[in-house]
Amino acid sequence: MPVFLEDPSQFSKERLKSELIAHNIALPPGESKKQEYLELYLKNVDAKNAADFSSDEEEDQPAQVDGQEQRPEEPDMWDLTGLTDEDLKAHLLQHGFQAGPITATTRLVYEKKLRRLMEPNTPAQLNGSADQALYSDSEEEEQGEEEELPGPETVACVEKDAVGSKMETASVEDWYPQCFIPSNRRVKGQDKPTKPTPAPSAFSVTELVEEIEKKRYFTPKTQPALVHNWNGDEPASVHNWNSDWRPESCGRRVLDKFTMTGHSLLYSPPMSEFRQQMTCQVPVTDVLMEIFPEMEKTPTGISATRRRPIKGAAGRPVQFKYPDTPLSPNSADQREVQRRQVPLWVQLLIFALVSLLLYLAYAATEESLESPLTLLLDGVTQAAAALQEEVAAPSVDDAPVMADVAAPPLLGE
Amino acid sequence: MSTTSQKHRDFVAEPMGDKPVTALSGIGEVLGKKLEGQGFDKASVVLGQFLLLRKDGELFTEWLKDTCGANSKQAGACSQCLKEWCDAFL
Repeated sequence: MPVFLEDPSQFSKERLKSELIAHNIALPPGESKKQEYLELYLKNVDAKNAADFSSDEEEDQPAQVDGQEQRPEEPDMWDLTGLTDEDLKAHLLQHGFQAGPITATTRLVYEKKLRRLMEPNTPAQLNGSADQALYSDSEEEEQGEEEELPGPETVACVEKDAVGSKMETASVEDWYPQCFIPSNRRVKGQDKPTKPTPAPSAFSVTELVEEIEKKRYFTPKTQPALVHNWNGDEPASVHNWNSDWRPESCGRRVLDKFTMTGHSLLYSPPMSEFRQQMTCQVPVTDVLMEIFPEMEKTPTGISATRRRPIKGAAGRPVQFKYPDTPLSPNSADQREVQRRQVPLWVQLLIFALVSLLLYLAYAATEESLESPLTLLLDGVTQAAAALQEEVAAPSVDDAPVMADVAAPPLLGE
Repeated sequence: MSTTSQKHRDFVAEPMGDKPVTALSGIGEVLGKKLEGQGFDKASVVLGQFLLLRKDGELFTEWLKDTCGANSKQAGACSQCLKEWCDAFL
């Protein structure tokens, strides 16, 4: 400790030289300014000092760093403006930055650059060296850090990496069960491991799932998938990743599995997968509840919009709707007649036209049996003439009359 | 793909010659005046500074911000403009 407390800038030139030699640092040829030795010393001894520093507690180091701006760097900080151009360039080079000519205009920029390079350097070096120096098993530390990282990520429900403990999964599932379980399956990616692993977690979460079921809104497709999982027929990975949802609902659904594909006691009629996916992507699923508050409550899962009240139905006073009681048939007929007043005449007219057409067609067919069209035409004309002379006879009689009329002229001619 | 302004395209299309500082993309009237006050009265002088900084975009933007008070967007545009000009003509 005492050694490090000493300010290197206070070292004598000889001391600096000896230190540099001790660290196997090439001394500048010939006699140089103390500054240069100091620079070299600081440059090369920094890392080692930092390594020794961090041996105790990292917290102390930042405190010390803040207070003293990282002792080995202090002189540089002070002397940043006092550095010569060459020294500034050398420092920049130390930090891996090739600087251009340092002129009046560029100097300031390079100073800022160096300052920026120096600040993040030491903490990073300290941390890195500390890990390496202190902990013999650096891998454990890294693993621990890696495990911590997925923790918050799972909570965020964005992406799930391998989670160490099932308990963590259970705790996370309280919030985002739908997002959580599939991740295990996705990560595992194998049938066998997935089967046993989700089962215990599923059991542990059944209650939670129940609660969430009531609150949430599920796609029907999840059920058959869940059922499959329950039976262990197929891995969840095969189905949508939503499938891992509800193991306990699977238990209920077993009966319905073969009958219904999209119906569930707790589920509303087919909701698109989009919503499900959206809910999974969006950590807050309460929005869905808010959007469809009614759906969840229906036990049958079938939601029906409220219909218009039937007129005259029970509870509705008829008087308001019908001033006259509909019980009297006269009034009803009158109403009907009134409705049909206009179309009635049209119907009769159409009826007359149709009957006329049918008559003509019948007449034509009757005459065609005996004579060709030309004769028919002649017969028609003669019949017209005959009609004019004779009194209008029943339509049926005209045909044979016309035939008789047609025949004699033929015979006659 | 970056969206370049017309000014940028105009500048990069031909050798800058004796163009004023305001011809640079991102440098308007105000910034141009400030640069001229600092001695950078022509675009070529600013180019000189850019080259002095070894065509480092970050350093140049840093310098520009310090020198004339440009914001990140303006400085970035100017840096990009000079960079492309150098790629084309240098």
